[in-house]
Amino acid sequence: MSQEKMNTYCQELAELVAACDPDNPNPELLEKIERHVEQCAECQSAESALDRTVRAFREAEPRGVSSQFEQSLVDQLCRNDDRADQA
Amino acid sequence: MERPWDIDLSVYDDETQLLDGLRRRDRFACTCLLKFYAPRLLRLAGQLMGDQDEAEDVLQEAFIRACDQIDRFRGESGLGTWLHRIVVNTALMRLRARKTVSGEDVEAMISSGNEGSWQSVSSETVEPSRELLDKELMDAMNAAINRLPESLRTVFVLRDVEGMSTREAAEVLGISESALKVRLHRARIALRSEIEPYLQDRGANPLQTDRNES
Ligand SMILES: [Zn+2]
Repeated sequence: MSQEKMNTYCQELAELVAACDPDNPNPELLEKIERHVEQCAECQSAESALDRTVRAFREAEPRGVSSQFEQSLVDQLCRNDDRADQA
Repeated sequence: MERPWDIDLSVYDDETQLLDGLRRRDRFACTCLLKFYAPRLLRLAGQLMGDQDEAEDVLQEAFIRACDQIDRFRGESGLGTWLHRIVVNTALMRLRARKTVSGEDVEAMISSGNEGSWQSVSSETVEPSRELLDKELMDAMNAAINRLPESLRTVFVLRDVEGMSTREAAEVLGISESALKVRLHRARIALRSEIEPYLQDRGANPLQTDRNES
């Protein structure tokens, strides 16, 4: 597998996004970015592929919690309950 | 020997019963709460924090807080939604206490690589189906999210992974909706670059977009 980093977004989008201040974005520039993504076939393909990856990622079953962590947290919650009982 | 966490989950397989148990401070109810919700919430905390150890700390704090505050739970949303909010708030509080990533780091992520490395989506790229989202791609996605600067990671996780609306995510993060949109674009550009090699390795079917399907 090639570990070489590739940027699969079109250069125009990346330049527009890099030029946009993430804390205080210029509304016109943001509008231009949104319009670009809507109209650029290359960006649409890339966005769609990422959307599907994210959807599958979201729907995948999470890994279980380690038994050590689970035991430790259960102990702590039970201790808290015991304190509440005593109060 | 029976351990407190080796319990019959069917005792609380209904949320109302579980809540009753939690309000009575039933010793096993908290365990059930953990069994039901911890795996997904631990993943959420891990994605927000970008660090598994810190994620466990967040989850621990969130569950303790939830059990302590269970009497305040009004049932207006589901128990899972309520816990989700506690985990998000706990994680964000911890992140705010941390030093934030500098703007230069973010710029470097976006503009990494020279112009020659720009590449359009190739025909070798395939759509990841659930079957294809195997452990390797899952790990790659997790690692890529973890590598995002905090300001981009939180936006991406809340908006794209957790499915919050733009307004909701912006409110939770205390930023403007337009700032959130720009950060989301930045996050997606960075992630796309990171996972692209894994998608390219997964066959030769041409890319099918949502648009093409409709
Ligand atoms: Zn484009």
